[in-house]
Amino acid sequence: MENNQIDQLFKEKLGNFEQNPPVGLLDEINRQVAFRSRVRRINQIKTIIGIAAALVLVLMAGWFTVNTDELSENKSPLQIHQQISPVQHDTKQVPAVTSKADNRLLVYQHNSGQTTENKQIRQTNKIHVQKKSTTGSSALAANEVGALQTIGQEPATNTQSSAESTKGSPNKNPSALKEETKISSKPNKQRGGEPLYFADSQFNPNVAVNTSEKGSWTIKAEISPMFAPQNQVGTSNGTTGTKSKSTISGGMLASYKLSKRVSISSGIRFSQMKQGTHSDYYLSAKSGITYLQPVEKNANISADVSLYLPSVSSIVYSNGMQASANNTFKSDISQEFKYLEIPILATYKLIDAKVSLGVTGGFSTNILVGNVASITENGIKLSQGNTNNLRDIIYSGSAGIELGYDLGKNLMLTIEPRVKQYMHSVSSNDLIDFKPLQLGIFTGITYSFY
Amino acid sequence: MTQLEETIYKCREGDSKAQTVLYQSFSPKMYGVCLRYAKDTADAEDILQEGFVRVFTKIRQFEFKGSFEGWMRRIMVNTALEKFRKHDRLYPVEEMAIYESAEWTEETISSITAGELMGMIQELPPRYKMVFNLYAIEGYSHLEIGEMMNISEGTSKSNLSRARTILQKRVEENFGPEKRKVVKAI
Repeated sequence: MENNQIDQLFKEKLGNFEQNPPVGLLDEINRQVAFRSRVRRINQIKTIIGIAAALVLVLMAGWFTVNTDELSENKSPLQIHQQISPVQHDTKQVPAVTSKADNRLLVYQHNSGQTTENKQIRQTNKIHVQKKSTTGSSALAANEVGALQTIGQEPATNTQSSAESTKGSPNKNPSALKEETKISSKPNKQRGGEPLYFADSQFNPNVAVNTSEKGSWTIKAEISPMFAPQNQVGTSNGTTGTKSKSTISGGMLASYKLSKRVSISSGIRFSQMKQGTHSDYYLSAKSGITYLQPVEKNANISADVSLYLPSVSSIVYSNGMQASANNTFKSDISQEFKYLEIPILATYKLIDAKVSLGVTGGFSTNILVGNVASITENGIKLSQGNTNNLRDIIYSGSAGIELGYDLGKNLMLTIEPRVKQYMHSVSSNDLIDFKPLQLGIFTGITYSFY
Repeated sequence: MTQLEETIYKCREGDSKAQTVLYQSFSPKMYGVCLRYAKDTADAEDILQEGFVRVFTKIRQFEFKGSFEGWMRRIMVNTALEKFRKHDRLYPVEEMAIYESAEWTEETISSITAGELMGMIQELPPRYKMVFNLYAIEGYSHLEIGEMMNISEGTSKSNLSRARTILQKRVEENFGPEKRKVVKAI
């Protein structure tokens, strides 16, 4: 036999050779596909989280770098205050100089008829005014307009008055200020029966901490029960139907203030959907795998459940019926879908005080990370499988009202009723249109970096 | 759109029913391919399983250029090749001889079953089996085989020659009209 004859013989006989593979191999293939799909999804999520974390770190590092100078300069007003605190002053005070356009400049002038000297220190965002009395009266700067309002004084509108107040001040020797630095450093102490006013609002108990710094970062941890009002009654009789179950959602968000009232936030949140269906089912076997099929097709997403039963002959139902293909029986199916949610939210503060109120809205990308379906009868789980045709990524919109309560020390407690509506069906099956609506009351703790 | 195209599109969406249909349609042919590259049925099942997992996870990469069956077949062959690379070892090669050609009638050839030939191929040393399958049955050139198996073109030719010799011997022994004497030992 020649070489080409050997080749020809094997090609003819084996080129299109077919043989059925052993039964059950598809089951193993499906398991492997599902497993690898899950691993791939987890890797994608890890990548997204890694990128998001890196982005947040870069932004925060950038913010701290940019604001380093300002932070160091912000120490100056405290030092100035300490320098002038021991100086005696008169009881009657009249605000002589007030804020500039950014409402940060405030000066008190003591009505003693004595000359004063003002010195302005302009910083990146703040202007502090030092005022020195030649006879010992003190004049102080406060860095927040809120401080002025707290003590019942109205600010003027520009710094011109500051300049005017210094007119005619004979003593303009800057060294005099330096000389006072060694006198005392105790703040908030009454001397001669007079209250001492502070240069920095954080040392004044009467001044509310203003959390509205533009450009500040906050992080927030939140959690909420989620309620889904969508229930569906089966068409065959009154005893069948689907009920949504309450779940838990929670996560971490980082926010950035774009302006005094507007902030944007993003982060990562875990969310779930659960529903239970009591309905008629039948068993069908394909390729060695037994599927549970709902009788009421297209009722909702529970019509797209595939549960791999261990063995048709091994299940005996409570009514004594041996399960087999085309036998109909009633049972309960529980479905659970888990998502990792990456929201992008915008918040507008309507009231920004100790008790704040704002409106929040935005969109979220929801990545499917869990898909479990199980069948139970009389409380016993008979089999576990999954829901077919779930989309890996779905989008949702949300809107809510954020109520905040300032706990002090940069902390804020928030309560936020929120509505979440999925933008499209969670199933890619054309026959199923299931866009869940969820309601939640998010409770959160916010920490501000300012 | 053909029914196959529709099934492929559904498989892209992860439709398990469509995957079942696709598996049922092509698994016998693909199992036949796997058996040729495997040393036994268990090995063939491993290749088929891994091959179909890749088909289902990479089906989005199929761009409807050329035959889908050819695409699947290539995946099965590549899977078998990867498995071969992982377990590539030097097998002791039996003493081979060159047999003179015998006279083969059509009747004799048609009496040989595919199963019997499959057994002969499976018993070949792995590298010979790979080269023979790729060259004689799949139709790859020695240059392509060399690239696929990371061997030289000459090695591919040599392996093919040895595979043919072994197969020829076994066919002659089992089905030949008469045995020819050994004329030369390699």
